[in-house]
Amino acid sequence: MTFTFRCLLMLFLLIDQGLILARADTLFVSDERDNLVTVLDGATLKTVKSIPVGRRPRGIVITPDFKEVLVCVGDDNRIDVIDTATLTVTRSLNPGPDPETLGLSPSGRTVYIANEDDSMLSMLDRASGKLLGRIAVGIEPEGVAVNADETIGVVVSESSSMAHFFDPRSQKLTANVLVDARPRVVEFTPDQQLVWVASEVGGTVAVINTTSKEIVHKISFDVPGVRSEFVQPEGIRFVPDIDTAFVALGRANHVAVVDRRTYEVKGYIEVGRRVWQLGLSKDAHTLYAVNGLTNDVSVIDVPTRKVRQTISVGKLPWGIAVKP
Amino acid sequence: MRPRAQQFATVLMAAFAGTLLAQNGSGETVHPSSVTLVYLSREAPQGTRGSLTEPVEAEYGWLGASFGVSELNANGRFLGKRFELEKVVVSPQEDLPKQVRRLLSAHPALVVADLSAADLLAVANLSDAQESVIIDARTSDDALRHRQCRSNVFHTLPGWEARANALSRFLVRKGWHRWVLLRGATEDDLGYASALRRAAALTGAVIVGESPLPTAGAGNPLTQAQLDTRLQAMTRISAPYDVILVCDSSDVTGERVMFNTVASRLVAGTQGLTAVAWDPQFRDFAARGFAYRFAKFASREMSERDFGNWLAVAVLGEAVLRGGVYQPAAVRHYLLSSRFSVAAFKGEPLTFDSRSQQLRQPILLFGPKVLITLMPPEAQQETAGGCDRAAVSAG
Repeated sequence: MTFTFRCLLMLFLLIDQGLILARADTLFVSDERDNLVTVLDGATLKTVKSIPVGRRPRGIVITPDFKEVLVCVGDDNRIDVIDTATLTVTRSLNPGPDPETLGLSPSGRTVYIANEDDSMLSMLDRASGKLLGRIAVGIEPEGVAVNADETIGVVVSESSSMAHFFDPRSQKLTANVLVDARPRVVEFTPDQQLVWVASEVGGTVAVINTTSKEIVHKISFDVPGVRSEFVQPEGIRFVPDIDTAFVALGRANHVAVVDRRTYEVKGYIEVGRRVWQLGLSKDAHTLYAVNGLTNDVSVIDVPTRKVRQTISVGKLPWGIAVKP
Repeated sequence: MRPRAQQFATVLMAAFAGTLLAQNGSGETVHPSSVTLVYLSREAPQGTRGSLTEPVEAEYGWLGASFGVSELNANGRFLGKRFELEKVVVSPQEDLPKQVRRLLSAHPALVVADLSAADLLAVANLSDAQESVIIDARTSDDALRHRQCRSNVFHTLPGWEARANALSRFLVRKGWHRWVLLRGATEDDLGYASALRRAAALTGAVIVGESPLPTAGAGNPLTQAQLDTRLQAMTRISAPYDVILVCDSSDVTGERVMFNTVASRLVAGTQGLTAVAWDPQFRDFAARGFAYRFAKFASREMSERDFGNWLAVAVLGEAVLRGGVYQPAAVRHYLLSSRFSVAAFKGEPLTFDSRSQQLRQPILLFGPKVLITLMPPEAQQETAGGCDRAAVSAG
């Protein structure tokens, strides 16, 4: 075996394991109790920097151009904007009271914010910070998602147990769908035809048709050896190429692997305690699971469904944004 | 104020507006857009306020139920549903069963019962109440959950047995299994004491001494100093013990037990470490936001009684909004079915136990907040130095 061939073989194996491509990632994890955003190098899985932000950082997203990370700091009633080149907070947006989570339009121009305490969805222009409008929604709004052509938005309200569909242009509600108790997260499927809504206390994921606004399926989970009450679906990530969805199951301490088309649960990956949000590398080879009560992030190899490594972060990590 | 009979007639008409709407021309049953719940309570003499920051008109219970309805309506507006809460409160002397019979004789209702155990049982036993659904939003009485369990009554708060078991398991796990039991004289005190004795037997704890608490409060000749001395004497027990368990729902004597013991021992029960369904300091499982919303609504913190009433309304709201049922018979069936659960900031869905008809729920063990004494002691304040002396370091 020639040296060149051995090198090529090694390269192939590393790529196959996702080790090389994962090195490009930079991870931004919001630490709710530390008031920090922990920045991790995806290659070394070491902390690069802990960025001080406002109080109670939770919802966190990265812009489509990967130049800014936006993090909700609810107890300071603002959104802090982190420059991903300098790793500093460069400005803040005023989204109204107690922003818990946020979503971005696919263009990155509009920020959608769930104002937890006053049951509102606020829309801001990202560049100027100007308030574009507000929509009254159910009690304790949380997860927000907007489809690719920015014609349909969905926000879920935890206490009202509803998925509210809205028209981003007219800023009007178009439908309200009752789902199981305490929905936290909503995601559009890659084909944009459906949304998946994860209900924490209900223990299910409702699949809603974005045209008919009807629930077409409910996914339940049965984690071996775990009380059903502890199965609390939270973060959702789709891997389009393999028709797979990963669903974080909260206090069940597992991530479920679900066939996106048949809704069959193919397996469970054991991670840290109270797994909350999920992040996916751009190449979709690596899944990052944020574990709130063990203060760490499980790095999961997508092809093998194995936890490759666990990285310590700050206290009560909540959300994650991934920069390739 | 309108005459009470007229109030009841109004309530009756309003309470069944939904039912009237429920029949269309063809006789087909349709779901009403408006559903009325009946809040039932009895006025109680105004107790002594623990501090001047406590509201004079606290309306414990009623504000919990009202808050529940306001939250239901915040949800219902998206689903074309509206809830009304009709308040029926009788005076301390009034014949409650007589009034309720008039209310329920024409139609069964969905009732939030913010009542004592005796009043609740009297209402539940009425022949006119048999088709109604009565949600007990206040009591912890174990008899109502077992011997005197009624099919028309559901309970939102944990009974004494559930509280005692939670407390006992915790204490035994910590290795504090030798207890002294001090009990008050009310039915609730005796019920909790009895539950603690059973819990001790179940978990391997031993009650090494038991005494009735000296009564205090209005008409009691004991001064505070005398009361404290009596408490110290009651805790001077030759047998070794780890914890003093107090059952005093009046909150008068029991509050003084801690730090008035002879030996340095922990206090638990109705004071000290308490086993509760709710505490306004609870922060987990989104309880922080919930507590904040209630405080904005009521201009005070949410008591456990408020929580029981809020939960009663939330239970009925689940049946109407999610279960799609509103007739009491259908509601009862739904509440006992596998389709029912309610989220109550406990981190898991709550369901009714089919035998006791009590909500299964995690119980919070919470610590106390009470002034025990001022330092330096009064005697030292009169001597030279006073507060200055208290501030001088030992060195």
